[in-house]
Amino acid sequence: MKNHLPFDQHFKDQLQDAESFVPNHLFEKMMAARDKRRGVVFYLQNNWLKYGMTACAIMAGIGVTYLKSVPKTKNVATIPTKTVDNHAAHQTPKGVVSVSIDAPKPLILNHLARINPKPTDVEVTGHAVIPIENQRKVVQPLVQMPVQQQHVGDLNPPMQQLKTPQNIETVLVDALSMAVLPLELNVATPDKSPKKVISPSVAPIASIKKQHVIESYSVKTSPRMTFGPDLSCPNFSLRKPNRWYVDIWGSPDYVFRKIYSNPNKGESTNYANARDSVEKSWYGFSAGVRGSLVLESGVAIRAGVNYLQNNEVFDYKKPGEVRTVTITESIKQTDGTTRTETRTEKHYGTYELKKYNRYRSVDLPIQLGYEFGGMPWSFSVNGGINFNLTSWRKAEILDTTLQPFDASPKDANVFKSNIGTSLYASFAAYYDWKDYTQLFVEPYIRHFVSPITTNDYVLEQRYTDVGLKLGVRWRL
Amino acid sequence: MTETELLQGCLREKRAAQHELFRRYAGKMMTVCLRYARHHAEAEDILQDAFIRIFNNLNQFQGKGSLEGWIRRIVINTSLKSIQKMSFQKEGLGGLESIPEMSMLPDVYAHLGEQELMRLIEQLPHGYRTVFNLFVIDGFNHAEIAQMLQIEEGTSRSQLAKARYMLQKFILQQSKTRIVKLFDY
Repeated sequence: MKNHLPFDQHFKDQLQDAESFVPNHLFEKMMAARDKRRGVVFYLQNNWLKYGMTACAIMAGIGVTYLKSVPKTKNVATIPTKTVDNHAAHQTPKGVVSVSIDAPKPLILNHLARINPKPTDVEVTGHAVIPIENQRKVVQPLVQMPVQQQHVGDLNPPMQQLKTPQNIETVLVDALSMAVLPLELNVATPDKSPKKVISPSVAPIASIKKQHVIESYSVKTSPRMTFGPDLSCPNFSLRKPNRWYVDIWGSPDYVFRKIYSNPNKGESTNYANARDSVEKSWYGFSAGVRGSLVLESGVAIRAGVNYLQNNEVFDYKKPGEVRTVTITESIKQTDGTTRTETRTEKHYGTYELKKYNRYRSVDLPIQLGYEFGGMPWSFSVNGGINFNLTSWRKAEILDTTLQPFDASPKDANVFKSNIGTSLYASFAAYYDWKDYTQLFVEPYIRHFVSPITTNDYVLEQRYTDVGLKLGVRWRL
Repeated sequence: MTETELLQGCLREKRAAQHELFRRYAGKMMTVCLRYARHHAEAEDILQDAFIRIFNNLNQFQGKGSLEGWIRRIVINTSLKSIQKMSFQKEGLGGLESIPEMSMLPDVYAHLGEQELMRLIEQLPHGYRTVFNLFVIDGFNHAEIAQMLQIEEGTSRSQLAKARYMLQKFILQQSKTRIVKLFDY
């Protein structure tokens, strides 16, 4: 053992701190590889300023939009509130009213309080604030229903006619499609004390109808009467409240493909043409799920997960193929023995190879949209970016010697495992199918910003995808 | 830039600091990679992978030893990982007993510089080379090598002995060639 010490020591002395040449490009190559491995997290880290500013701008935009969508209200903290019986409200029969969770109740109550400052012969206690979205529908039950001591009397001239329950109803169902139903009425007549005409308990609309004031309070949307020329009234809006949706869809897709020389790798037009001649786009499909927040203003923010599978046909034919075939024949002879003959033959023909290539990717779409329209049809325009999470493929392609080879493995160094971002634009039409449920159709186009091939590959392969999303969305 | 500044810069993902760290240590580490790799391209890949790991895990360096030692250990581990598919058991020249003891005077190899020695090491079968590198140059003992390569300690000893034997044979062959060439003159 000791005999080896000087031998070993010589190697150690010479090699332990020896330095070797390191190519200049290695650092940049290494950092690029590192950036690629780190993916989205890296981009966010390294471009935090850019992404931060973008995020701030988006948030600011959303904030401004939201603030604009919320009407200025006075302090309503003093207004007593009472929880309505959800179950009862939910049983409101179709064809009567719809009850929204998001109606700007305090505004209407404030408004009423302002125009009816003094008690008089007709007293209304409590209101159900009911937006009438569609007389044929029952929407969301009202969860919290404010109750306010309200007086409909001593009204300004246009309101003087509204001293009867019948008229009150007409007033309360205003042009904004908002019905404020009195839940308790005390009607004073000259010779009688105020008469309670509706139970003070908050009853479902259906049960209200069955009571003796039912005719008075059948809800109509046709009257266009407003609360009078009170200019200080806050403006009511027809905007819908913020809504959350979940969409699921499937889509047939067609991917337009372009192959051309990688500018960093020189001219390879012949190779590109050869690949184009044997690989054809076939069809594709995508599927996904996304969540949407639609603000009162109609601005929609969407995010989800999208799977895309693009299929291509690799159809390779090589004429003039020669194959030597060895044929072994066993011939049973009359004496019971078996004779074996072996011969070789040359077969001439065309070598054909047909395979179906599949390019798959999973993306994270982030989109902004604008929704408009009414019922039963509404529409939206959308735009955004799809961030690729991962991609993989099963692909037979031609190599640079124009021979088929399997480019599926990562080692083949032809296709990226993350194909980067793609730009997305679409138009969608929604149809109200059932309560809380819509069907939608959404033609879209999606363009991949960068090629799906690696930087080292001699060609660049780019995709533009068009599809038609067919799906269902639910309002949460 | 001091080592501390360098580390802090790298931890903050400053590209200049990362480049400086790479510049300082890449040369030495490239030699390590070349000793373990089968060819130059593989050595470059190993170096690249190793530095990615270094930058990704720099926060784990606690400053207990030298930074160079820590980096070297990562480079060695990365090298071993890249060649782990190689079977150390299958390579060999027979049992340890069959290897004749060879003692060589330092004069025979003293003239050999790092280039020549690297060339000699490159000629070794992969398993021998790995054990020889780990034991002789990088200073690991057989127990550590056995653990790192997941082999028996005896195998490590055997591979080392065979590596030495082969290297000495190569050196002797070179010497003969030199002598013949000298006589040719």
